[in-house]
Amino acid sequence: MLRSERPDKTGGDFSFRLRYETLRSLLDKNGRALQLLSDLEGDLRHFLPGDYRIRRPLRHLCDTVLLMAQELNLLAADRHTELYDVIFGIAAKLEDHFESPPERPGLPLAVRLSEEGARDPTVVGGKAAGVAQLMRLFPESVRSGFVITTAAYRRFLEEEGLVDRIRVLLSDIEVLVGREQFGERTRAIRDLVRAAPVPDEVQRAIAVHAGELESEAGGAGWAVRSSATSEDDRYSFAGQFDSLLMVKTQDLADAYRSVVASRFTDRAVVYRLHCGFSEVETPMAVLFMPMVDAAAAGVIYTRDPSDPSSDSMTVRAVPGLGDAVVRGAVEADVFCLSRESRPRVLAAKPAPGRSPYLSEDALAGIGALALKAAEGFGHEMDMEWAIDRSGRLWLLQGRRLAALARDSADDEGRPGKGVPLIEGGVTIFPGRSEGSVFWLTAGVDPSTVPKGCVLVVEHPTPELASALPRIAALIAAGGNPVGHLATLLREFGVPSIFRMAPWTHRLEPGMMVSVNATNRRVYEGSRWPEVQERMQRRIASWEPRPRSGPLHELVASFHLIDPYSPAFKPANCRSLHDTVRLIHELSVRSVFGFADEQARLRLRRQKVRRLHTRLPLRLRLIDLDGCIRSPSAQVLPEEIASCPFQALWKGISDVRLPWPERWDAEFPSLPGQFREAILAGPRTLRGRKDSNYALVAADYLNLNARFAYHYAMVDAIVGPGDQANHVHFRLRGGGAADANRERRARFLELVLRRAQFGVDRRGDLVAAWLRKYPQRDCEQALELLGRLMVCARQLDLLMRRDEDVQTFATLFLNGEYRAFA
Amino acid sequence: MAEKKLRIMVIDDESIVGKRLKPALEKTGDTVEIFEDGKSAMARFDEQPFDIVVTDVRMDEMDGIEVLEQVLARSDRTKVIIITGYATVEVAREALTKGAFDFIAKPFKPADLRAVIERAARQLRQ
Repeated sequence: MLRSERPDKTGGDFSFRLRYETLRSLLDKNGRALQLLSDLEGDLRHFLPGDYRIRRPLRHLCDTVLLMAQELNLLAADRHTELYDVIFGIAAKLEDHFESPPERPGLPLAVRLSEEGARDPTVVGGKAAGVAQLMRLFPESVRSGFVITTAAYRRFLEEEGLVDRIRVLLSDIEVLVGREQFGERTRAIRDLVRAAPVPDEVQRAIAVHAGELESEAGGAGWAVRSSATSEDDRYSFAGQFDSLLMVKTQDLADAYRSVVASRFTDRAVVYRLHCGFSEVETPMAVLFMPMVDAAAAGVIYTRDPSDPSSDSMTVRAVPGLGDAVVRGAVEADVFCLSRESRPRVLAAKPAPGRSPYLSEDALAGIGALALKAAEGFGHEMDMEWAIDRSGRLWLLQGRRLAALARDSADDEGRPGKGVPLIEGGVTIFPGRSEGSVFWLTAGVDPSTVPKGCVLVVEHPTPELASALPRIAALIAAGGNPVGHLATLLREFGVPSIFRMAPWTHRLEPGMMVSVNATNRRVYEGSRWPEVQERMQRRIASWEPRPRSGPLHELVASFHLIDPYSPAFKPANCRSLHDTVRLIHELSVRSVFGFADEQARLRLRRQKVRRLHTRLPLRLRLIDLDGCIRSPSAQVLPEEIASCPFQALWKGISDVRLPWPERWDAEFPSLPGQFREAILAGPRTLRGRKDSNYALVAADYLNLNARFAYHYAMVDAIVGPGDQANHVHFRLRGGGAADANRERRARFLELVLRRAQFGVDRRGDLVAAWLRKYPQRDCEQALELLGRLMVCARQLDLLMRRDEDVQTFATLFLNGEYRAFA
Repeated sequence: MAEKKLRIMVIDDESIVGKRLKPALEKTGDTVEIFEDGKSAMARFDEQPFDIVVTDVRMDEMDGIEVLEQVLARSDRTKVIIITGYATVEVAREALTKGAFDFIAKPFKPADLRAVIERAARQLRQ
């Protein structure tokens, strides 16, 4: 491989320079490819595969990756030619997806509920499709209305340039959940939506359809409701979006805009994050229906959700508009009906002080129609109804009743003390669970609710939605059994009891309790340890889901995490991200391999030197362009005229950092060998006896090092021109348990984001980047990385609790480095 | 339809940017004034407000975000468009969160900026 070696004019050898230039060019492309990838990862959530904003950068990315593969083969003597087939394979699959048109052409901006098109939930959303089906089953009992479709939504966002701005405001938002900035971002989006004019064509469509139905609207105005895709399917989005009632015809366009803006409330955005929905997957339609001038209204469940075995239906009713029932603003009258073709009232629980306004006949009518609907839909239903002033019954909407629990296990007859700590209330979702009590007082951020706790609140408000996926059970002093939170609790399958006042004060914070929501009893201590596993499974199933979709798999998914694994090879590249990562690693390795050979051959001009430092670091340096001024084999840090090296070194050698002199004092028996191993771990690229290498040039640094038992990589180009500058950082591994390593990764993510880095964290792997920043910013970033690598090297052993993540991040950012010893 | 002419202010410490944009933006008959620093721009704004302010984000004394805050404090109906150079996403996010109408990343064609201004104008005329 060294055959072509001959001195060139600058005194270096030709082969070395060629390799250096090739590597530089490859690394430059690597930087661009990573930038394209991170932009695309965001964009894939907002645009359809055929959209030019996806297609164009993806083709560019494929070209870039192909060029990288060529350069790698130039460096590695064509040892990796199978990469070409891998890249062509991925590119061909991508092209298949591009061919599908971004949107079905000719989708209408508006459809009437009675039209054929209103059956398609991808066009009208789940709620409207449900109403349209109700209308087909019971044409006499459903008001005609119309839907402004998902096509109109896309038009609105596109025409007003909202997509790009929303994309920017939602980027990285998942790390802000529960923080103040989260609310600032979502508010900014809502403001942008509310300020944007509704496109003329959409306004016209609203006006035309409303005009046709105006006579039906009468004086009661319109109900304008969100109808998102995926809504009322598995995910109900209950209460996640606003409904506007009694809207005047001339205000419908404004109402449309407000309902669209409600897609971006904190709750709605958190909910989509939890369910793993991307923006592009969940366009919103808006349903417009003339309002029923209601004498009475409410909801009906075709089975009692708190007691599915009872073979009865539950009706909740209030005089006037039913909206109040759903919001929980007023107490409803509750009726239990038999499931017969002419249902009988089995039990009535009227709200105190209310005179009767619903006859048995009226209730029977509601029940009979609901049963027919359940038969027509093929599943149990949760429906809203209203009775107008002439006594006519209307169905307003209907959806599948959320999953009914199967856990009816009884705790009676269990050994041990059988006296419940508290008892009573209303079952919202049945089942048993255990955990320690956590009280959340009003106004406190729900993101503070710990995983696996039994959450206790005074009033269950929809703001709690973000905590539901991770709690064991919920106990509320008050609460509305048909309110939005109740619907969400059923959806998330959380055992829960409302209206346990006045006994909830007996539940002391931190107390271990066992909740039987089926029998509405709470016991002190752990009673059914066997339910823990089921509960953990449920919590795990709601962990934020990785973004899926065919393009995500082919582009941004990342599988080649471990460069030391035997699976780290071209055949296992499933995405462009994998391919970029592999090429980068192999190219650096090929240069290292080259340097090893050079060292062995003891070239006349020694290119591989050793860093001379009093810090316990073993580092060999490969000078790429003559930036090391000293001719000797041992080089002092100050003799290395490399801008990125100097910046990183400034951080590493910061006198405030706790280097292991302290270990000597604390562990005098620690063998020196172990201390030397601080940079050489058990699984290095080059075997355990070798040093770690850094490639240096005036404006370039590539450091691959093992700090204690973890692997760190810094790759940086830093010079006066912003465009080529980048700082890339990767860190993974460590000797501690998985949980601790992940904590360290979260610590790094926090600190790096604060320092303006883009960050991608997967398990214990952290990748961070800063691109196109001016020289000064890059130098500061490298300095920070230097300090960070030294401080983080023991952190996986120091951080024992989740709270430590924030604590150590604050300590680090405040410059209190002693804590990291 | 004769629409009311807009008053547009462009602030960029690189004088070439303003010089290049002025004729392009004036084509539609709007009034365009250019400034090389935020301070003199704000002084002018106090004399006579503008409908649209286009400002570079990276300037020495008063940066684009400060201009944004000062303009909105003076006139909340004014649409502020931020020109971002590097690190587009972070800066754009901050600007939008603080009430900017939109952002545009350098390098851009005058026609791209024109399109953003037209959208802003549509909102002003709403």
